Amino acid sequence: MSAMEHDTSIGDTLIRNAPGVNKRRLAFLLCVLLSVAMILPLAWLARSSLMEMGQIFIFPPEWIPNPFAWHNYPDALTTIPFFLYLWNSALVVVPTILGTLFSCSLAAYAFARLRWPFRDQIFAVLMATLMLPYVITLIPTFLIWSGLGFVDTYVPLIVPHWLGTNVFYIFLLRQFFKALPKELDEAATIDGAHIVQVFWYIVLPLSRPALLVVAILSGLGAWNDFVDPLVYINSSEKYTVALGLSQFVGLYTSQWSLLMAAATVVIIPVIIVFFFTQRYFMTSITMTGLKG
Amino acid sequence: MTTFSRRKALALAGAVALATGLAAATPVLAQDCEKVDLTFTFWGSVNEKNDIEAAVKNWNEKNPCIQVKPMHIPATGTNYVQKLTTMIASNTAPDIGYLGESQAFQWATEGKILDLSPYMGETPDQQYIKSTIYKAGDTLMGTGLATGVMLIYYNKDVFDAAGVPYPPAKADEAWTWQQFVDNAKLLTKDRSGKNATDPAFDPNAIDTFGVTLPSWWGGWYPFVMSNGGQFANEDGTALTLNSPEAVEALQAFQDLIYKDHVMPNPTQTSSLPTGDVLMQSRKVAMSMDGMWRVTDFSKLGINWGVGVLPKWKTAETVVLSVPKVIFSQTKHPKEAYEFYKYISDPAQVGLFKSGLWAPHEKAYFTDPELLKTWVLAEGSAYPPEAMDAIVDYTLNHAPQQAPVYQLKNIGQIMSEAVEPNIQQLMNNKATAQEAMDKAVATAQPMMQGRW
Amino acid sequence: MTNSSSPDGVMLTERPSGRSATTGARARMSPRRRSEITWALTFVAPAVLGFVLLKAMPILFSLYIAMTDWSAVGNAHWVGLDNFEKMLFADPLFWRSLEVTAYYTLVSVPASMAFAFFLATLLNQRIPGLGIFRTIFYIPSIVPIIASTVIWLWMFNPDFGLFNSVLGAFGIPKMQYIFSEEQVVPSLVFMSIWGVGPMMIIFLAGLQEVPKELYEAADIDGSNAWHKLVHITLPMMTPTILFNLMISMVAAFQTFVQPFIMTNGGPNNGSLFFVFWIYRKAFQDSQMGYASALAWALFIIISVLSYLIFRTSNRWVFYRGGDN
Repeated sequence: MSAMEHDTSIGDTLIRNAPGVNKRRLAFLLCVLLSVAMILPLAWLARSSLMEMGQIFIFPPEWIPNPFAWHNYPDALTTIPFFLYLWNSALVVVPTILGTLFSCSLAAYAFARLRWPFRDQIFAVLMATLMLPYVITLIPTFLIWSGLGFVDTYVPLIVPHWLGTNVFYIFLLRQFFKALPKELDEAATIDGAHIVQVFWYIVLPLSRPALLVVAILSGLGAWNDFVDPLVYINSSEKYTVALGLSQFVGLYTSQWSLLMAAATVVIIPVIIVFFFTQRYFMTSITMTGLKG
Repeated sequence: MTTFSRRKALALAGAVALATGLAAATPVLAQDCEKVDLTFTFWGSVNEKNDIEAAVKNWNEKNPCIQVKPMHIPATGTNYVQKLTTMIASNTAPDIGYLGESQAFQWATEGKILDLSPYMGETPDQQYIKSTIYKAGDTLMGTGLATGVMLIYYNKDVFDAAGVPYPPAKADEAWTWQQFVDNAKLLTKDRSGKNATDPAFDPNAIDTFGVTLPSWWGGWYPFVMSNGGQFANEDGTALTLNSPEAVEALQAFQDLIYKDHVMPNPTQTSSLPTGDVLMQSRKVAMSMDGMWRVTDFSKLGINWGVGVLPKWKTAETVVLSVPKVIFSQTKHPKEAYEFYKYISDPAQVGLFKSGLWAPHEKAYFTDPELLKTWVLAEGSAYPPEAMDAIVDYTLNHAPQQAPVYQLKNIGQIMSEAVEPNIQQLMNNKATAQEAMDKAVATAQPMMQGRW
Repeated sequence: MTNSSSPDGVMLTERPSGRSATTGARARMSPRRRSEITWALTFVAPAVLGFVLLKAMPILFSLYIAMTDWSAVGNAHWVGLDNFEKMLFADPLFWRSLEVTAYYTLVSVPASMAFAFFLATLLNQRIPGLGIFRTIFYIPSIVPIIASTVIWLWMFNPDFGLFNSVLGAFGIPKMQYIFSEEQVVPSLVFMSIWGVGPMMIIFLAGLQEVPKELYEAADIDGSNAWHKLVHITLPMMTPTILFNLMISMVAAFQTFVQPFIMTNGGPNNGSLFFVFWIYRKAFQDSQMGYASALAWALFIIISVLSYLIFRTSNRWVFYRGGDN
């Protein structure tokens, strides 16, 4: 490889590209291998979702369901009101994403690019809450929401995101904002642009990839969260999908095949959504002015 | 749906009327009683949930004045307790609910659980099975939801193939421990078909195990009791699991795995959801489990039966239950108690007939008419020998209450002192004597006496 | 607020000098500067409000609780520092759970970061099927946690599980994984590596920001891949590395679901993770006071570690934005 690199002076296009091509082939091969490894547990999930309980626990393990227990799927989706839960999850996830983008990008901008008294101290204090174990705040936070009369509503699941309590994303966005060339907004400011205008017309568009990352991560977080819904939602007709799934795990009996089938149904739309957003997401990275 | 919304509309109209000071002038048309709303929290699988919700719906139709809202809480780990704790801490406790035993006792002493003595009388043990009456100090928390006795389930086909007699269903005929081990050896087969008595038997390639016993206390404590051992001393100031009787029984338990090779080790079984599935696929011949598994076994389509546990000195088992309590924050104790009785009534709740719950009132074990509401019901899930192995066994051979009834701070004692050392025992990292000496020593600072 | 700031600022600048130092400083503040501060405060207002209501108040409440014997359902009695004393001197499980958690953190953080970085560099190549690979590597982290823990429970099963059946095919003896006191933490680390998707994406986003010219310049100098990695990629990636380091460290210290659903802290407390143990104290044993004290201990430990990382970060993190 290195010998070939030294030969680049020959000027032959083919040879010049050869190391890159080899490297890419190696990368591709590794990606295929790792993909197989990463997908294995999911394949396991999928095959279990199509098996009768008895077959799941056979040694040595079998890969192919025999017979294919397709009925697990309609069973899973009718044993619990699955589509209602799906709708409920949407009611939580969408406002969560919007709230996170709103509160975290504003705060991150102030922390990254504006100068104001005690900025870094306040930032450090906010960051310290990241280190806070969840259990420490569980009861007192519940007491607050309960006192306000919001138990058994989605308010305690959504409002915290509009108040930037997920400082993780403030940190993430601040890192991105700080990395933007300072000259950009300095120039704009000299041109007479207002801070809000700089934020809206310059910083946000340049940060689309970061905002997308935040949107996806916070959306997935809300989608998969079952601890908060469990604490705050009392009526089973208000359950989210993640919480609804846990109903398959009983105290004495667990309906594993149904759990696996329902889990598969939950994962598939997310995979599709992610597959398409990641393309946009990566394109938007290359489209930003960051490269030059 | 329509009636519900009409009632709701009426209630709303009533509220408006009250607010405008016209309450006295507005006649109540639809109801001749004041409507009471109750909340009932419970856990359980989706099937249990559906069954309970159907029973509650039935109640609500019959009792328009006492409307119960069922609140199912998925029970993964300690979710249920967490949820209940937050509800009580914020003064929004349910009216009625299931409750884990260690919390029930503790919360009763904190005054969070209604004393049911005025409702149940001074001598509830005349009416109810002793192991299902919960009393903490002066507070009678009430009874358990239902009962469930520890039993042996077995696959008849595997027994027939090995020529081994079925485990007896009558407590008087219970196998001795030695008989149990001998039979288990005949049932244990390696991949080449040799049983565990064969000198050429390969313990590393076992295809069918003779038996599985649970590793939680329900799996070993009945044998400790049967051998005359006890969980703790009289005043609850020390564990006595390192007594010779307890150690003998526990050592024999460990030997089933590592010496007799008739039982899978806990790592082999603990991740499996249920023993019934193992039995269905003929991985085991016998499985010790709670009576509540009748519902699972009855759905497997295998040739199964139930028998009593093997004995050391006395044929004994343990009856498990889950406290069902009324929270003291309730505003309607009388109405709550009505529902309290209803939800454990075999005539109302299908879970008795389907083999998940056994009743907690003695009459249901003796009265032929009442037996027809569950074990002898049309289409019940129980096998014929259940009259001995469940009915008689529960009523006459479970003389002692489980450890959870006896000790304060049992949750911590179990999870920090007993369970880790039982795990060491089951994983062959310590002998019974070593493990239990350590458990007793570790538990010492946690001991707070008996209830 | 916004409207008043500008005339106010004008008024201040017109004041005669000779006042106290602070007023003087304010007096010299330009309208633009005042407006910047006002907007900054407006921008952070939601987050600060959230902090005060949903973080600071609960934290102070729990600090108070940590000094009591509150059971969460009964009355609280003041016990001062007894809970902390018990923790340090009379509770072997405190040290045990700390040890388990530290061990897991020390192994899983570097391992998952290295793996995520490796995946990100692979995906930063122009290879066919990039979108599919990105999706595949990310998927594990979007599987609902209930489902993923159950899958792994089965894969780890010594008898019925996937791993032992694969290893068995190569003649490797059965391992016990999460069912062995010694192997449980390494097994959970392995499981955590499976879910590095978000970290990988963050690394990938960082990698795409490294200016191409730097690599082109290095190519001209004849640098090899390793050289480019050490002298260009890694230095340019330091802010991202810092971010992922902090996040994964905090997450590792707060590991909860795996012991909660998979191991129940066993065998023999081999996976008694700290937060799981706090949870058990709080809700199983109704020792909310003691649990709060434990939570504070964890809070302090993580804060000190984070502070140390931040303090040293000045020496190794390189910001291109060059702010301040």
